Amino acid sequence: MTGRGARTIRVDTLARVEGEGSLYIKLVGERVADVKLKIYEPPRFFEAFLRGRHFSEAPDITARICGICPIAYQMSAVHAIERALGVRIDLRFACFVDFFTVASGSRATPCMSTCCTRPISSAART
Amino acid sequence: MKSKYKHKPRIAVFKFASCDGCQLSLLDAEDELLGVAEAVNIAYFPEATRAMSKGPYDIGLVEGSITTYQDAQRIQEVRRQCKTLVTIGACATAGGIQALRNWKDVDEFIRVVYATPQFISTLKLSTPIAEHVPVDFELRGCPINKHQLIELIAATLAGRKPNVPSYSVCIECKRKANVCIAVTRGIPCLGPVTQAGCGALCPSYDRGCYGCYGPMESPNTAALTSQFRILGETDSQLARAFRGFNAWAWQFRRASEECERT
Repeated sequence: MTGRGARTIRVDTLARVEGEGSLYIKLVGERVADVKLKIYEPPRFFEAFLRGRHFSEAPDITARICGICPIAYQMSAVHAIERALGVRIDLRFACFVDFFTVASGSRATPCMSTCCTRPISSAART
Repeated sequence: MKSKYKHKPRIAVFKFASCDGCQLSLLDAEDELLGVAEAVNIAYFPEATRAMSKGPYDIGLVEGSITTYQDAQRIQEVRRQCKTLVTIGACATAGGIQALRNWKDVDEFIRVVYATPQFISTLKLSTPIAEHVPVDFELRGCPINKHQLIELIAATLAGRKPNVPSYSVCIECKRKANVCIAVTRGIPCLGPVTQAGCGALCPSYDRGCYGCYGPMESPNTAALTSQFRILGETDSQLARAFRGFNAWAWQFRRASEECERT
């Protein structure tokens, strides 16, 4: 408690995500007065060192962004390569890829980062 | 698990620059996890539990490489707090994939990636833990093998050397009766110079090894690169092959730099 009717929710370690950080939310009554998100994970520069690599190496490298949800990053790289090369994927295979992605998010300790909420490909929805 | 400790040993898991995947291997050891929890007191493991007790600890598992000034300070304190310090994974043992910055201008990297570079502070090099403090054992892999991790914990508790082989991936292929994809199909494979531990995962699926477990104990990288050249690989392809998750391990570092020079 930091005063009458005011309280602060402190989460010093957001541990269930890769890219560690902390979160502070200050509430006055029912109103959120202040929010601070601090990312203290050191930078690793994937976007920079991927330059100059062969495109076929990207999925293995991006999978190492997050060890909790590697499939999401790996599939993001695969989708980017497909888009860049104008490759159209067979519907059955697209369904398999989406199943793979969704299944990887149902682990015992799911990563809560936004990568896991990637929309399912339009091919698989139709 | 047999234990040399009179008390229930306290174990701590620390993270530096990494992806969280190696420490997750401990939680993924589903069948063995209860046995581990019975044998040790998990005193500090933020990824697993919010209950965190202060040191000193009997065993410290360290994931990640050192890439910031603050982390270079923190690892000294972690070493002071841990009687036995073990590094887990390619980041902690070799600097990880983020060590690719070590050949580049890190200030340019910051400008390329971050919209507000002034908020970013980082060291020019990503370095393994053993470059900063003495390490009692290094467990390889990107990610590590959970069975090797359990063996390492069991060995540390019993006060014996862990049974973690330093021979090459080729031995694992032979034991699985895999037909050699490099010899029979001309697929470039780092298996001959890479330490075993993955169970020859990629070659078992007709894919060349890409060196996740780092250099085996006495890798003949020169012989392998000349064989890769016969298979038609260019020097730039060869250099990239060694610049993976264990790029900063000195044997792979030297091999990639030699390929760049030729």
